Parts: sequence; C-alpha cells; structure tokens
Amino acid sequence: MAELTLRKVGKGFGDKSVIEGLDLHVASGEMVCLLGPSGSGKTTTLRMIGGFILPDAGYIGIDNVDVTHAMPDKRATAMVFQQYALWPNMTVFQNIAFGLKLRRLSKREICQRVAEILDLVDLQAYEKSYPAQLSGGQQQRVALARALVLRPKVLLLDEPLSNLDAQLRHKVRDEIREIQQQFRITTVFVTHDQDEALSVSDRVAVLSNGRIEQFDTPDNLYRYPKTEFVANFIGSVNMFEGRLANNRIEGSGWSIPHPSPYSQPLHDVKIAVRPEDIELRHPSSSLPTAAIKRRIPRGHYAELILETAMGEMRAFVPNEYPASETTGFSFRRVLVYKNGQLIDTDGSQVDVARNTSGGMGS
Amino acid sequence: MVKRRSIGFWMAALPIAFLLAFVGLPTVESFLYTLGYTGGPNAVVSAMAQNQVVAHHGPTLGVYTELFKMSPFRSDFISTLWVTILSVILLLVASWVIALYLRFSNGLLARIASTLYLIPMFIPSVIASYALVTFWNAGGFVDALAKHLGDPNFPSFGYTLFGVVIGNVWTGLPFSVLMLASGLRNVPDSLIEAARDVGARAWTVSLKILLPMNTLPLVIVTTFSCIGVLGAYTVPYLMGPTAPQLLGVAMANFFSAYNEPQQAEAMAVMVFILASVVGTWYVMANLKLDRRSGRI
Repeated sequence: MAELTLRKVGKGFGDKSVIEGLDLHVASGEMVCLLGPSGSGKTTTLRMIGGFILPDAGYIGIDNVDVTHAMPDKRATAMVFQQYALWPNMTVFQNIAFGLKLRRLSKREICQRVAEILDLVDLQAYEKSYPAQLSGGQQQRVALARALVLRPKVLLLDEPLSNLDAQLRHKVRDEIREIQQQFRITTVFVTHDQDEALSVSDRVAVLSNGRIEQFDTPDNLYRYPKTEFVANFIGSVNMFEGRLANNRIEGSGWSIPHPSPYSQPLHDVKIAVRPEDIELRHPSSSLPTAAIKRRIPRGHYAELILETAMGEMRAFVPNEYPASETTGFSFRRVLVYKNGQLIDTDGSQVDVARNTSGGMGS
Repeated sequence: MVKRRSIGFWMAALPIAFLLAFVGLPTVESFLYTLGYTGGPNAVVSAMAQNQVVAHHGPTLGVYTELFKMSPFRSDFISTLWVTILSVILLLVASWVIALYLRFSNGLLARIASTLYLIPMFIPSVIASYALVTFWNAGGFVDALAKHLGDPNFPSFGYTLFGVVIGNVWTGLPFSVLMLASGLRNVPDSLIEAARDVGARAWTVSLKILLPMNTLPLVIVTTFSCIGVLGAYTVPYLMGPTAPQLLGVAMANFFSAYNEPQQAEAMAVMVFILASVVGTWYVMANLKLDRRSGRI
C-alpha cells in the first residue's frame, strides 16, 4: 500500500501542451480512475506515473519518494497495457516469471510466486500455453498477473478492458476490482468508459484538455457535477440555456420557478436535468406538456424522446409506462451552471409552470 | 466446381512443366553424371571432359572420394564453410545493431543511416569488390593510413579470405538490414515498455524480447545469406586469394579452365546439400513459429 502524489505536473509535446499544472493525490489502497475523452491527457498522465514519459514540470512521488525523473524499472509501479503486451515468444509462466528472474530470485521462489498468482487469476492450467493460444480475457488476466507478481506499490491500468467484448468486460472488471480490494493495492485506472469508471473506482478524476475538471467519488460526480463538461460527460443530461431572475429560470418562451440565492439577475445560465429527474404526469393546465416523439427500450427501463418548448429532452421511465402521445412533466432536481461552473442545485422538487407570456406546451 | 479446379490445375501446370524441363531435368542429369552415368543426355559433355569417373556396375561415388582425396579441394571446402559461417555471423551482428539503431532513433543521423544502408544494393558487386580491394589492399587507403599513423605492419585484407568475408558483409547488408529493421518495426512499443516496466535494461530487452520476436526475419536472413555466400562467385573471385579458393570459384575453374565438368558438378551437388541443410532448418523454424503463434 502506498500513496501517490502528483503536484503541478505539466507535459507538452512540441508546442502543444498536453497536461497543465495537474494535481492528484491517491490515498493508500485507493482505486482511482482517470476518465476523459480522447486527447484529454489521461494516458499521458498514467505514462508519466509509470515513468514512460518524463514530465516537463512538477513532482511525482510514491510514499513521499520523488520518482519524477526515475525510469520505469526504478519506481515501484507496474503497468497493465491496453493491448496486454504479453511477449508472444514466452509461455504464460515465462511471461509472469520474467520480472522475477530479472530480480534474481531463486528458482523455487519464482515457481512458488508464479503458482500463487496463477491461482489468483485462475489460470493454473495455462502456464505452458503461449499468449496466442489464449482468449482475450485470459490474456488480460495474464497481464494482470505479470504486474501483480512483482508486488508493486502502485498498479497502473491503461484501458485494460477496451479490447474485450461487453460481457467479458463486465466480468474482468469485477475480477480486477476484487483483486484490488483483496491486496488493497493503490491503483490508477485509465478509461474513456464512464460506466467502467463509476463501477470500479473509489474516486474518479475527470480530465479535459489536460486539466482535472473534477476529482470526486462516483456518486458525487453524478449528483453534483461541478462543471458543465462533467455534467455532459457523466451520464445523460438535458441542457437548456436561460437566465436566473425573480426566483425563476427563464428561457425563450418558458420559465421555471427556482429559489435563487442571488439577488441580482444572472444572464446566460444553463440548467441541466438528468433524464431520471424528469417526472411525467397527466397533462393538466398547471404543467407544461411534451409530445412523446419516440420510445427506446433500454432493457429494464425505457427512454422517451420528448418534444418540448425548451427543445428536445430525454426522460427515463419504467417499462410499464403507458404509451400516449402527449404528457405533462415536472423536474425533480436541476443543476444550474454559469460560465461552465455549477452555481446552484437543490434536491427538492422544482415545479415547472407555464410562462404567462407564451406558454411552453408543444 | 470441377471446371474451376481444372482451370487452377492448368494454370499451375505450365510453369511447373517449364521448371521441370529447364531446371529439374538438367539437375537430375547433372546429379546422375556425378554418379558416373556418362551416357544418354550426358554423352556430349562426357565426350569432351577429362578425368571422369565412369559407372560400370551401378552408381559410384568415385568422383566425390577423388575430390576429397585432393588436399587443395579439402582446403577449398573448409574455407568455404569458414567464410560462410563468419560472413553470416558478422552480417547478422552488423545488421542487428544497425536495425536496432534505426528502430529506436529518430534523429537526423538515423534518417541518414536509413538511406545509407541501402547504397550497397545499387552498386554492382564487381565495382564494390574492386573498391573494397583498393580500400583494404597493401598500398590501399587503410594501409596508407596505418603507415601514416606509424603502424607499417597493419594487415592487408585484399586477396585474403577475410577480405571475402568483408565483401560478403557489404553485399548482404542492405537485404539483411531491410529484413531485420522491418521485423523490429513490427514489435509494438508496448511490448518493449512492458519489459522495461518489469526491470529489463536495453541489453536484456534486445536479447530476451526483440531477438526471439524477430526469429523469422533472422532465420530468413541467415538462410538466404548462407545460401548466397555458399554459391557466391564474383566477390570471392575478385577479392579472394588464389588458394584456397571458395567453391564457387573452384567450380568455375574445374568446369572451364581444367575441363573437369564432372568434378565441378559434384562440387555443385555438395553446395546443394549444404544449402538443403540450411533450407531444412528454415522450414523447421517456420513450423515451430507457426505452432507457437497458434497458426497450426
């Protein structure tokens, strides 16, 4: 178990800055996910932690030991690569034992540690197989075993599930989480799949353009996305433009009562509503109405595409929700953003009323 | 389906028939000639040849035993093996180092080197051999430089077996660097990084990861270089000593200068057997690689 600290880390390639002043602290035994779209700098950050890229500025420490400029073999990290990176000329046993041999352990100890780790990843029967003879999931488990057998202080996982099919991905990610919990090994996991990030991590760092937008628990990220980017990136969201004035959020042709803490009107705000926070009700004069454009089955729930005066919206409803052409609706919860930053939210029910000047029914 | 199959057969039949007629038949005929069969298709050549061994009661290996009884031939044979082995080893080492440099360097020097190593491919071996002789010979550039630096006894490699080795390395370098560099380019960076991650230094990565992963290009380079050097004529003729000679030169001499085509053809059979050994190793190595990669 070890702490990992990144302070003011910066990295550029040529004239282009990829990471700028990045701060990250991973507690001992914690599993942290670096989540972001392509080009957000998550893999560069991971590779800097692993020593494959040296930062231009800042500090990287493991248990307060400065490893900023140490080579990969000189730091207590082990990486599981995206494409598994198993050496095809070696058997499963040889792949796992390679690092131990370089550490000049006795043959007996090597055999014992490899056997233990193969037992852990349930691949005892495959120790004499070559990587090409294994399935994708098995290869991934060998890659994990190869990293774990060295007993690193920090385990680095670079999109380890991206080459697996959906079913296997769920299975392997649960296995990875179980093993991480079992060893309480400090882990940094890179992915662009939010579902993966939210389901395995203790905390998630959402990156955009080389900066951390928010570093928080999965629940907080979803319920309180601090920036508009995070709100859009994590889960589904309906986003509308408007302004905050007179305890209402107003838009072109619609307004929503909203208890505002601001005395002065705020222009150019955006309100975000999660699809599950849209409550569909029987149409009535006190509620805005929406036309149901399409129903998309999503397995244990259904997604409705609604046409409203605010624009198109998505709402999640139970499968048994009765089909109809129009519906009334209200919001259970809204998030208000100004200049991309979260300025206001509440957990209480927010009613939507017709705008006296034009109404918002479709 | 049957029609399509017959089209395939006839398409393949033509080149196969051509090969059998123009390569297969003369090969069999020559082989029989070395076993003492001087009649039939060999009647014309045997009518003019000297020192023939003729089969009276079945095939005879007389010509082979006669050759091995000759001390100069034994010397030629051993020299050929020695030059082949040394040439291939030096060629592999030099090409491997250059290919590694090209794989891991992106600088201006690497870009220049990536063009320079191809140059020998475009220089005819006759011209290159003369250039190398002039460079390494007594009174040549290296000799003059050594004398200038105060070493009058610096060895001259012109017209020596080692000179032939240098010539073989020069001529074989473009092909072998091309093969090895292409093999190294196919090794993903992640495999190298994974090795560095578990603690491997550059030397270990080269020896334990890159070398085994490039078995196929290495086998191809070794096989083709071996076969090429075994049957080489131009470089050993122009750069080699008068004695011992390499088998390629000896064959030409026995065939034309000494008018002993049966001995020349026996030498060709020996070179073929040596090349077959290397070829068999090539096939076996390929099978092993295919098995490991799960293709068979």
